[in-house]
Amino acid sequence: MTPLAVPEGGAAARLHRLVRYRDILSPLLHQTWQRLPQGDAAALENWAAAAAGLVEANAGAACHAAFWSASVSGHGMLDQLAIAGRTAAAVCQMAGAGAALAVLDALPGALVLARDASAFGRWSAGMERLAEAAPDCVKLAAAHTGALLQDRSGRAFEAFVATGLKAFMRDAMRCRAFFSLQDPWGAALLTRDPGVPGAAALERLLVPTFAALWGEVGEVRTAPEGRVTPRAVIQGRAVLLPAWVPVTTEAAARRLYLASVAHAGAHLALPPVHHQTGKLKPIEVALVTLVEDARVEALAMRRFPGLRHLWSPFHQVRPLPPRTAVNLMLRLARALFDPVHSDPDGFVAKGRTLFAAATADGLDDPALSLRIGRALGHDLGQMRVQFNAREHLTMPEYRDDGAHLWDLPEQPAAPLGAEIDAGTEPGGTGTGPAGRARATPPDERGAVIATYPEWDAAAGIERPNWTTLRDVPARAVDPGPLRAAMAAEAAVRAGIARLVRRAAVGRVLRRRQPDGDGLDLDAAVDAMIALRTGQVPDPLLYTAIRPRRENMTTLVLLDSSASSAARLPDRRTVLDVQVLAVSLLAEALAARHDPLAVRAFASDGREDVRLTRIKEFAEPFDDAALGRLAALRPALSTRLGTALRHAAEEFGTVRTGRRLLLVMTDGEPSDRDAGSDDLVTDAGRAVLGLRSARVDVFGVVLDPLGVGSAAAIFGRANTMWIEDLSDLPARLAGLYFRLGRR
Amino acid sequence: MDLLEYRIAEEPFYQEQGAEVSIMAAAYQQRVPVMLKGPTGCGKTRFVEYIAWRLGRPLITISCHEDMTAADLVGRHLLTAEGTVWHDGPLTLAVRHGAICYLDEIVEARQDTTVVIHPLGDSRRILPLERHGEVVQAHPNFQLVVSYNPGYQSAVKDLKESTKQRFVALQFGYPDAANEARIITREAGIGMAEAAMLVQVGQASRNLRGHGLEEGASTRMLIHAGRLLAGGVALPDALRAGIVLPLTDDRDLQDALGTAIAAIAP
Repeated sequence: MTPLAVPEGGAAARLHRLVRYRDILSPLLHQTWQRLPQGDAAALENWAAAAAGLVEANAGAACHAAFWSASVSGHGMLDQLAIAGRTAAAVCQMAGAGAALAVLDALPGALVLARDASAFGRWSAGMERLAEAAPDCVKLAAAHTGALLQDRSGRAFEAFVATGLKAFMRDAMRCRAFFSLQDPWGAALLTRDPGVPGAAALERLLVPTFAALWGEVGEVRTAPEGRVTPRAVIQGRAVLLPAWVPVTTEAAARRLYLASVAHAGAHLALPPVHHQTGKLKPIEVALVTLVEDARVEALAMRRFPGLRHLWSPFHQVRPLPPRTAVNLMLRLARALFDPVHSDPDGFVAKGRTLFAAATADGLDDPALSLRIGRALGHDLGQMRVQFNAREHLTMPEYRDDGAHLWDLPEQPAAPLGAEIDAGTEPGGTGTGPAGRARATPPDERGAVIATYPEWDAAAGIERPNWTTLRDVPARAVDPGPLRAAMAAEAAVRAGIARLVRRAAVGRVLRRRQPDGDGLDLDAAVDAMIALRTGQVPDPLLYTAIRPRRENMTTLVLLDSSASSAARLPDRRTVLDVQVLAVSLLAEALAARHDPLAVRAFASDGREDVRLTRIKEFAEPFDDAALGRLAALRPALSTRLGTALRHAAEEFGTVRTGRRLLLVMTDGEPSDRDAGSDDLVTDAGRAVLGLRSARVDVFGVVLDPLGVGSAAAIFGRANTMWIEDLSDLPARLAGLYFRLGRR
Repeated sequence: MDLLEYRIAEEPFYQEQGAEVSIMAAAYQQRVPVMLKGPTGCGKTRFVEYIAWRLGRPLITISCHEDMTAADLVGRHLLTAEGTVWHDGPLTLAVRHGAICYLDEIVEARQDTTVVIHPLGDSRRILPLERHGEVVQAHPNFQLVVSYNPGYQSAVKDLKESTKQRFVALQFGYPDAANEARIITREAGIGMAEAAMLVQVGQASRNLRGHGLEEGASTRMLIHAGRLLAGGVALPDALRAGIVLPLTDDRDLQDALGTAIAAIAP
């Protein structure tokens, strides 16, 4: 073998030392090294470090051979290769050598598709994330690298991995199906452009638009994850929007979703229609649906003429061949939508004539759709045009799938309902990994502080010592990001500062004031004496009621259960916003020297109700407290009653002034070993106990619809429902200062 | 004292919505205090003005606010060169001289302030002026009217039970579409078609209650937008300046309302 030029003391030398005595690997490395581009010494050294790392990870000869071979054919992309080597080593450690080998086998393909360094970085990072969270899926995903990197930017892959893990990490079988592209939803997901907002991100626009147009006829939601919904689905009063739409710009997504909610509302604003499929052919069903869509849109445009502008961009098909079913149906849809559009086709013309004749007497009768659709379906059948019922989608794309118009067999409806429930339930399957109750060994559960009774509604008794409260030491993280988030809320801070200035707890009569409600008699006498003796009287003549500062001791109880992991459109979690709100309030109170303590609570069964002390009454609100607040992560369940009972104990040490307990929660106590009714009743009883101990209890409840149990627990008058979470910081502070003045 | 400056010279326009005028007349005949409930801008104040005109009584209106004290209502001593002089507050003025006293948005005042009206709201019909050492017996024509908006009512802003139960109440709401269009036509000086469109926009905004808005557009707000139209402002600008922008600062809500408006008034 030719002696190699390897710089001493570097990674390359280390790599060669590592394989020096390995019969097969040593000559293979020798050959590989000779064929690598030698021009960039630093890049070469970087590659060697990655290769050495792979050896040190015990990845095995097959892995090294694969890596070196990919490196030789790697078009000189040493930087990307080094990244890949490190990824393979990491995958090897987390998911085993087999997974690492699969990644390395996929490497040549990945280097071709993701030529750009950042794209390649996304692929590698995705593989590592997968190895960490779902090790047995690495091989599956690696085998589909070609499909997964189709967009060549790696963004689709990045989003694919994140979504798959979030949706199915707890369902091994579905997870494997997802990453092997066997799951139709997973496969469809790859068509998504991650840069374009989906329905969830646009809910703040779509929900109010729907409400403004159609009022209370229904509600708009995003279709649950895991289900392919190329079109909106109307189910009962709910409109389920596709989680994403295959468009490339945000503006196009907004247009499509807006058109979609306007159309779905047009259906829901009318009495429900239930046609029988009976002996209808699929093509007839499709045409009846199309005519019915035209009917409800015509009615909607009578009420809201401007809807035409919203929908017309989707009716742009031109009267040109091919004469396929899809083309003819699109053209018919346009002809029925747009009365001035001209289409010479006989079938389209007939449809328009039938529709015009039937609607001359009014549009109120849904039977006209059935009549016209059947007639047209018959004609289309006679034309022998091809129609693929299985793959047929309603057209244009903003229209819902039309299934709600038909009395279809039961099977699609029932599981859909179940999926929706699961997806929308707080802490349900849709909330992702953060919502998972992590098993905790007994020794990590924290020191037992107390046991509390709990109400058993069925037995009608309070079970003594039923729950165990544990003190879980607070973790702390860098408070920098939280400080930055606080700084970003300049307007809220300014608003709170105004409240601080104005805030007054109690009032006191002050004498000798420049103005006021009453005369200060002593001052008045002095003034008269001054006047009569020719002196200038003191103008401070009045008594006035002025604010008096009185101690108000506040305890904030923060529900950090898994339900607070739900995300807002801006990607923050509910808990993030709660933490921000508490931080801003604590900052304001610190400036006033108002005592404030903060506790977070969560539970994992009655034996493990966890309390985390974030800040004590006497403690300053400094970086340490802020770091503890920032470290809170959503997990577990909400056993509110126990936390409330303990708050009563904590207030027991506070003897003077007013005592205020602010509870921030979603208003739904739940735990794995107790019924929700029991926990609600128990929490309600705990609140009564607090009130009788002269503690003002107030619920700040993240339940926009007000459908939860908060009113039953705190009383309607002592509950503040938060509709828009982003308002929480301002509203929480506003509440505190208003309560202070009560 | 005939309180000339508090008299309403010309008949204010008021579109009756139900039986409110006859109930109010009966309540006045019996001198029972009246509470007007309803959202902002639905015509409560206009109703009181109309009633005052019909009954030929002076109307003293007090806009309540959080910093208002009892002295702001009943009066206070002032100091002059000759000594102290008692100065009647607006409530005392109305009580003494038989005006209609209208406490607008009474929940805005603190509860310890509003209790001064209690002795006026029952059979005693008196107003004790503690600082002045006087008990004023209400003039036979004195009438107490208060308004409040239950929509704003929150846990920390509510009337005491003892205050509430002294009143008979009239519920106000936004007029039905036809009546509201008539009111807008009359007040803004625009045509019925434009007014009907404004009413539809108003309804769309009211649908947003609970979806980010505390209240939808009031009739008053629609009249303002109508006046912009009458002043030659283009329809989209008038709707944006008169309705969308005052209602919300939230961009998504503005867009949502904008989409609904575009659907109503293309």
